[in-house]
Amino acid sequence: MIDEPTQELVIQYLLGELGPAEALDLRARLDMEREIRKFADEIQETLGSLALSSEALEPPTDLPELILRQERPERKIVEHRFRPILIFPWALAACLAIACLLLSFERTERQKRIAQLKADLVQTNRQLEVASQKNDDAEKALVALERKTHLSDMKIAMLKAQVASYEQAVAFVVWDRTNCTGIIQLDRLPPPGAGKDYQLWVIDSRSAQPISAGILAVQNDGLIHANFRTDEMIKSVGGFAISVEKSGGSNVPQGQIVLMGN
Amino acid sequence: LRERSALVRAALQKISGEQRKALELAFFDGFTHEQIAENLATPLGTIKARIRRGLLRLRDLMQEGL
Repeated sequence: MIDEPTQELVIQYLLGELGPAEALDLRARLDMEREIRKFADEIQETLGSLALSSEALEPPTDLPELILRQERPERKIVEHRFRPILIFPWALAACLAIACLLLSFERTERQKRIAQLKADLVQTNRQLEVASQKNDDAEKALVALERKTHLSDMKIAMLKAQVASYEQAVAFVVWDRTNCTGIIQLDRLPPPGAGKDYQLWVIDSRSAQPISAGILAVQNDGLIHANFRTDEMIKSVGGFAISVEKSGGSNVPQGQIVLMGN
Repeated sequence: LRERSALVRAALQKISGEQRKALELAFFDGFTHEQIAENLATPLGTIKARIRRGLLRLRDLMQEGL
């Protein structure tokens, strides 16, 4: 049985009222005396149970805020409210960032497009060079073909004597069908006589009358080399003829035909 | 826990008012025995006795389950 002074001493110890020296002495006794230790445990449990006697209190609703203020008194609790003035710069920055991104993307695409166009231009220039070369070749071929065509349009005729006295005469005519012009070469042709002229005629197979190609002036050596042309367009040359006409010539053959050929 | 709390409150109602008052001042308000004696104008020995007897009575009541 624990005496009353010891009981009061234990109670004061449990309530924290003993000084350091008294508490040290009592702890030594608690370690050594089992009965006192048991009494101390029971009283401590009883004191602990007293805490359950108080009514349960609901914590204040602003308890978290109070705790935060005590923990961080220097910081103000910021209310999260929608503030358009603060959001506007961020929205503007976001828009600028998006615009920069889009412009950068477009710039890259344009650079790619320019590079592609340059490559196409180089290829086109090459194709143009090849085409120009082909064109030159074609022009050359065309010129050669035209020459061939031109030669094919040429008609060469040898005139034969129609009168015995002109058997010695030699006459050639080269006729250009395209331009209706010609060259005549005559040799050993006797003089036509006083008041007479040689007149060249072009025979058009589609015309009833020969067409005059002009008067032929005979040199003293009997040689004639002259260019001539007709006033009318001759579509189909049938031959050439030289007649002796009165001086100055005639619109239609009236004199004797001395040379003719086709 | 609620049952235990109800048991403690019932036990407190079974001890005397003087003992209960001394215990509340010592346990809940944190007064020392001397301060309680001074506030209640009661001798220190009487206060010590009230607290001791009150605690013993509470111990017995709770051990018995009232």
